[in-house]
Amino acid sequence: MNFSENLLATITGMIRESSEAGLIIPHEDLFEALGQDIILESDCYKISFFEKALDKILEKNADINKLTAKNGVSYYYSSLSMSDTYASILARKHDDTLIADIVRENSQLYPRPVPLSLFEHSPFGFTREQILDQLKRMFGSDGFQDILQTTTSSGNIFLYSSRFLDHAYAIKMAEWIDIGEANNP
Amino acid sequence: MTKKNDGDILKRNGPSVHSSNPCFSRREFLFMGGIIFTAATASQCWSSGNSSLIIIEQANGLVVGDPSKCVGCRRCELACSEFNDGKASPVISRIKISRNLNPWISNPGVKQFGPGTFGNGLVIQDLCKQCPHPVPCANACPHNAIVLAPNTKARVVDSAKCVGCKICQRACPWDMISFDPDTNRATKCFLCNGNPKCVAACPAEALKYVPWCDLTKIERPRISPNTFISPSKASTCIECH
Amino acid sequence: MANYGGWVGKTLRVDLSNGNISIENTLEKYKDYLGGTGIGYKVLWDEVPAGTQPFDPVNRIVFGVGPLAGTGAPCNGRTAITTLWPTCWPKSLVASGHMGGNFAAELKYAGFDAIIIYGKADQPVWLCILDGKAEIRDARNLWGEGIRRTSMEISRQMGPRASVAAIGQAGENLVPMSVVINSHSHSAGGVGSVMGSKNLKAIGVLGTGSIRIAGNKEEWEKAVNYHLSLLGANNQHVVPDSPQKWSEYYGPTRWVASPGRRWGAASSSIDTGSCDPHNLNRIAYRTNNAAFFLGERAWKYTVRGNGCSSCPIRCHTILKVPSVSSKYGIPEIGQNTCVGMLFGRNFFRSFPDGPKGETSIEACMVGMSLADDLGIWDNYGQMQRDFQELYYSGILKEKVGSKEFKSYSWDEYEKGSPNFLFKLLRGIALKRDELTTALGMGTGYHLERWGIPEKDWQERPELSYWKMGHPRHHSSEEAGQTGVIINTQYNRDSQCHSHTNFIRNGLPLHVQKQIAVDIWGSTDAIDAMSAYSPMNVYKAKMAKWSILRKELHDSLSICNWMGPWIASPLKEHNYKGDDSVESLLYSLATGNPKSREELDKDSERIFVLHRALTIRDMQTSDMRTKHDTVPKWIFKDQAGKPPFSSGSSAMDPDDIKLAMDMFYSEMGWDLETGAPRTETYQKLGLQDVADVFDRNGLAVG
Repeated sequence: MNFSENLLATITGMIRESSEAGLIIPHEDLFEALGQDIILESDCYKISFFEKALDKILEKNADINKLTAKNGVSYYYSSLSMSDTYASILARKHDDTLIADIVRENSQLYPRPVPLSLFEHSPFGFTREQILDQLKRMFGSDGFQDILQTTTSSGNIFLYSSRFLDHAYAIKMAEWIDIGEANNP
Repeated sequence: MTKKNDGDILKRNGPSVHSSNPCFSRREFLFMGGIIFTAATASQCWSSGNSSLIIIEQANGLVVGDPSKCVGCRRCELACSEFNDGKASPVISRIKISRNLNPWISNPGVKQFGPGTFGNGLVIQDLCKQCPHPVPCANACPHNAIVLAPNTKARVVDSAKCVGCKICQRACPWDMISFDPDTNRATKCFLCNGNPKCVAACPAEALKYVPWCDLTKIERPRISPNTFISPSKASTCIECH
Repeated sequence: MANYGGWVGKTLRVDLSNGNISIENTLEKYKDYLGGTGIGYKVLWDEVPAGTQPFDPVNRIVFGVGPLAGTGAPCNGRTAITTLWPTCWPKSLVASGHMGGNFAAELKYAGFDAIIIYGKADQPVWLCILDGKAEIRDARNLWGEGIRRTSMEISRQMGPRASVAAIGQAGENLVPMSVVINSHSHSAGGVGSVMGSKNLKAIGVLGTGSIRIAGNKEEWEKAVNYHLSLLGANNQHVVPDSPQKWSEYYGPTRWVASPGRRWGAASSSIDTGSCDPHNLNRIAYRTNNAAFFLGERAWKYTVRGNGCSSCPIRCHTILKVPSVSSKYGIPEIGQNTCVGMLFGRNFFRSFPDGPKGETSIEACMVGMSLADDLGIWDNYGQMQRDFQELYYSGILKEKVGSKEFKSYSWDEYEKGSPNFLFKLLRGIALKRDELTTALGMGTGYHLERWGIPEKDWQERPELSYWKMGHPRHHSSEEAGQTGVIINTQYNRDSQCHSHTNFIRNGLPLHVQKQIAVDIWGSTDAIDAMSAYSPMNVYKAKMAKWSILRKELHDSLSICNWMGPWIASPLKEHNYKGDDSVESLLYSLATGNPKSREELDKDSERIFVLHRALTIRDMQTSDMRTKHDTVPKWIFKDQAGKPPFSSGSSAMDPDDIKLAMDMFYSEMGWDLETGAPRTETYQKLGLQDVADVFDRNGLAVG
């Protein structure tokens, strides 16, 4: 199947532009913006044509990446201006497991616990109530038993995953991050 | 990381004003009060018709500063003098920051929260305005050493002609001519041939190289200049005025 | 002598007793010591006899800068001030304080690499340094004034470009806990009273000179931009504190810029935005230490970042808090960083609106306004920790007597009212009563005066006290044995950031470990914070490296609070930096090419000379048991966890003995005493030290 260079360049440009603006672009938005320009006899055929065009773009441009969220929505971004880390946070923004995921990632990778306040700021942008709601749901359901919390001496809550961090380490690090860092400049 | 080539931007977007009339009006001329007009000796050293002596063309661009963003680090001054002259020397820098770090101090009568570190924190960058005609520094130079740079149309010191008399220093209302004691020459902003080092060096995006606009009517002079027109130029002035 | 760039070549010598001013050639005498602390230690070794007291006229106070000061090499704003340290207890020993600001650069433009001051003027004077010349001027009309007014008055005389380093009333009154300050808020602790003892109120410098860059200017531009490309935020934290679109990692760092976080009090508010590390034109937005230390609330009060000459990292923050003007009668604008910013706040245990509320910011504003005008030092926060402990334990009440005790409004203090600070801080500067006199002496002398054994303080981790009158400064709590070793070596708090800036840079441990392999030879050089492994030789190598880099930075005049640059924010470099960037800049600036290893040897000479000064002035070579001691609290974990367990910061006594063995052995020092051997001195070109020690019996074979 042949795709016009123009079409591929337009789609690639859209993806790069949205990444530059700090956004990942869902499949649907790309299709809406471009779909009407693809003149083919049936919508079904049109969709598959579009899919193939996207595959081609992914194959040809090392910077273009695709992420599929839990609900099946595919997102595209360009690593020229957006990191995998950031894109994956955006792609999971509406997953109810986002907070747990982030907590586990931090516990495993760095390793350290994270303050609740992390989720109040960009790019998460949850209200304190939303965060507490999510936590309540998590603490009461299966699959999240590893997500634990510790409260520092100034009353701030930190979260960690017991899969990767033991309790003593998490407590120590939470206290350090919350109070120790600023007291040891 | 290198900045986008501002020189190119200016070529695309800049007004690059070329005056169709290479003269200014007599009214405008007289408006500059206090001119020391020494036309009598003019013909001795000047044959009229050489258009490079009176600068008429506007510069293509100039560097402008945003004081609210300036963090007072002076990296621009150091970039200007080190990357152009091979020495760290704020006094020869063609952008002036140091003298504005504590301006309130020199004017203790000024209200407490004037600019500067001891005041409201604001640091105002002093930059060459690449003056429109009549260009005070160029007109004052008795040696015709302040000339147009070919690409940027910046007003620049031709160090082969400069003798270090400092008359230009006293002619600039904004006190923007530097003097290099090592070379015994005046020096001023020459826009780094279209890629100003100060702009590239600013860590706070507080400087921009933009298409030329006339700031001479807006910004208050820093000093009372000696408005001096060199004899050689005075005769040329008469041609139009 | 070759014509070097970098240095300006002259050292100023001022004898205040007889008013003699002379100039000597920096390079003839001090080239092997680079500058900064190197010159300082050398002068003290050559000119200050053992047994000298800090306030004796013969004591030297050396303002030293190095070949990179005043150039465009990033982060070169620090002046090292070396002298006999007045708060070093029980006996004064050599140490240095460091101030940023514009003083270092201006000193070079005025034609000097260092100022050596001694003697005592018979009445208050200030030193005017103007383009290669110096003059002693009458300061009687400035004596009794604060630092701000002094700076303004001298600037009025010299011109607005002058940089003025002045002491306040604290220094004048010989309060050991006093500072010298230049450029509004850049202080060097501990040395204010030494200036005061010499009747020296201030030094004003102004110059129109230049510093020649010896190397090719295009190469220099490339080198400077290369160094800039490796910079992170303050303390060389290389990842942002929240997820940013360009960033692979994030963590609790001082890189606080983010879209939506704004300099809210700028004349038109400015978004710090996304600061992609490749954009060198946004480096200044990465850091806002007011926000880091005081919390999100500080953003709206932020006017802008400020800091040293040439440094794109603006670690000082200018704050505008209008309410303090009417509430406390102080300027609504204030600025500082770290402990200077927290000076006022840290006296209080709590505030009515919480630790990061409005009152805490007001306390910071009041503290900065008073301390930076009166010229009071807080010894890295130890003064405030001592104060809280002494008050809440009841010791304070018992020691000062009831009349004096009642003269303070303790109600106000306990409620966290910043008003409390006025009487207390003015009192310290004026030595007004028992409490303030004692606080102003520094912890060691204060405890002695009140009959409190030093070991009581050394058992309490929350007091952070280390030894000899000074606190820990990045020790076992964050860097295990490496931190402990470093903290044993100095005669004040160690001030070394080579290790902590790496450990706290925000990168994942596995990335840090890969860099550790390059620099110290093994992933074992570092551990996760508070999950320490037993001592190994790579930690000793890291400790040695960290100390030598500190001395190198302090001597070249690049900021050890910002460096080293062994990690970077660059993903494409696997977050590696470059440990030879100092050598690159030094070689190009001076035209005296030196490899990383050669500069390491210079810094080892400088550090070992500091060691020799300590041995000479303590009159013992037994550093191991008499000097390199550790407080007991390092062996305890606050949660009671044993050493080497996850979450424990406790050290093990035998393991620390081993750590010191390994460190001494890396240094080539004698294991039993921890003293450098004669051959170590000889190898480093310190034959004169070896000779002196040979004669007076301090030599170790």
